[in-house]
Amino acid sequence: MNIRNNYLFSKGINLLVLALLITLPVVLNQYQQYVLNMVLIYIIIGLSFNLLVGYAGQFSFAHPAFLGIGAYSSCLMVLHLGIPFWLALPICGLITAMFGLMIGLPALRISSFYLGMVTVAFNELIVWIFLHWDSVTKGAMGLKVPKPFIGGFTFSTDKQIYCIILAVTLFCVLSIRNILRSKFGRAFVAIRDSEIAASTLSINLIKYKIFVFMLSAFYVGIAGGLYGISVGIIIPEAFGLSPVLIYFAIIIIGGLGSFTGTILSSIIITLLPEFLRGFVALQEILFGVLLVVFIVFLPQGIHGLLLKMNFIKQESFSQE
Amino acid sequence: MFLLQLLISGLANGCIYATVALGAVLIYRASGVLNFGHGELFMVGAFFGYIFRVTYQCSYLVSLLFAMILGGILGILLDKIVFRPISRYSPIIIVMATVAVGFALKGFARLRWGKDFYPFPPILRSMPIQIGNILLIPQDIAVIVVSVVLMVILLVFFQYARLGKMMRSTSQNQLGATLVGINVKRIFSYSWALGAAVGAAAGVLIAPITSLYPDMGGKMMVKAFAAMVVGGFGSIQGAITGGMLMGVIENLVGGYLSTSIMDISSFLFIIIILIIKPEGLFGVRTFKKV
Repeated sequence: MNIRNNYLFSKGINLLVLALLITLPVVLNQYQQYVLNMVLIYIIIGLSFNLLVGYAGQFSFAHPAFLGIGAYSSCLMVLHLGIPFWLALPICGLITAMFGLMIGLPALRISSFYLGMVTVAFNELIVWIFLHWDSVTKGAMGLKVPKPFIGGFTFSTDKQIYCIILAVTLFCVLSIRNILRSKFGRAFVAIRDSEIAASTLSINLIKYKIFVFMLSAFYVGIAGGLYGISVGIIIPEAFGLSPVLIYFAIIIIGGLGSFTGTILSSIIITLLPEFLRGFVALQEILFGVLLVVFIVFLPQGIHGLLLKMNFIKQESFSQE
Repeated sequence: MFLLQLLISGLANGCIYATVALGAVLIYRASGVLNFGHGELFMVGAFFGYIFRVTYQCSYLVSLLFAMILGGILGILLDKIVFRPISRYSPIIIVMATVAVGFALKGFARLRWGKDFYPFPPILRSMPIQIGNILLIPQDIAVIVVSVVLMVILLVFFQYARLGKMMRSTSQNQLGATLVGINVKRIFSYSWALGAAVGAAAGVLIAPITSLYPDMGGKMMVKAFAAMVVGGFGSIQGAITGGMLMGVIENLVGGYLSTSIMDISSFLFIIIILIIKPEGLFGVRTFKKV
């Protein structure tokens, strides 16, 4: 019997990873803990971006802006409206989803390169608003994010924040996985493979395209809320176009339309630049060259590589 | 007159936008790749110019020429190494590849030139000329003249030269071009070379006006895109008029409304025009057949 197909084995792996994630903070120092928090946040971003690009075949340069909208809106809700963080987090997801709708609507009329242009412009516009809406966002000074609290307990250290991030990440990963296995996930893949074929199968293109943009933005918005409390201060520059390279790298190196691959590459891509901390130039070269090498030589990414080594099962929705 | 003053400096900016857009259009038309890393080709070209102008003390026109040659070689290399092998992939993946190439170029430039700003010696070292109430800055005039000459050369090249005609026919119908014996792959290489060379020329053109730094490409790329969108996609004349129009409008907005709105006018242009009229302001609507 093949060990890969063993139900108990795969469940066992999942439980092992969960146990590892719960116990890891015991041995990590403060810096390593911060990096681990970032890894989890990038897993959410990577999965939601792959949901849009790898599964539904849509495109967006605006995900850094979505992250920023999530971070700013959750922080502002806590600061000015006095909404507790646990409630602000889903609301900021919904707010970001509304912005996802704003990108999803033009995506009905335009595609690929044109959509790329619109989303580039949208991203720059949002960053400009962050930068110039001084009275609310404090402009280039940045906004200090208050520590989240539940009842009387304040989550002040990185390890305490990790509890929140881990719980939310688990929720996001599981819910994205379930959505992909549902009617919606199959519809997204059908649209990616052929819009015309999908519409002849009575898949409502308008509904599903808008929905996938909103869904992707929702998760990135939540990741933005977590990013805010984890970093502590949010500045407009963090949401410019540069992080887009990292998101691209995550989904290409993981494999378009691959769940396991995205999680693995999120971990790798978040950890790699930590070795090049402070060397922006080297990071840019590393990611740029890595991305080109993967696109040209290994377009199926880690997922394809693991498949070749007979290490994992073929995922049903991965792109050829 | 304030208005005329704005028009002239807007035209100078517009010439640069038009030249950058022209490079992107050349690549887009021939190979069907919209280069999201075109801003970085522009930036690298400016630094190529800087090397010849400042390090080797060449004259301005000679550095422009060398920058264009080096830019062209870079374009051919990019085509051969990166974009040729993936030409059959979906546009999404190609876009990601262009972004990756752009970032890698930016990274290499940052490695060498770091965080500083590099001033480029002016083309003409003379005082502004006063004609009536208008103050003509020689720099602006030089930029307009050089870029207009460049555009005329390109237009003539595409209208009359054999290679230019071959490039045009390839962009119209690849299969047809192959059938009449045009080496389409070679034409792609030439288009990348030409596009990158024109991008580099734009970099050297703007160099004396602003100083050089590795991040200078990003904003310029968005402005070139706006020019392409205004001018209707993929036509050379469209890119030129679109670029000029963008430069002038931007300056008028900056002069009469506010300078902070001037910064985002190109973003707004792209978003509004592409949503309302996806084929571009002067473009022709095309239909996709199944």
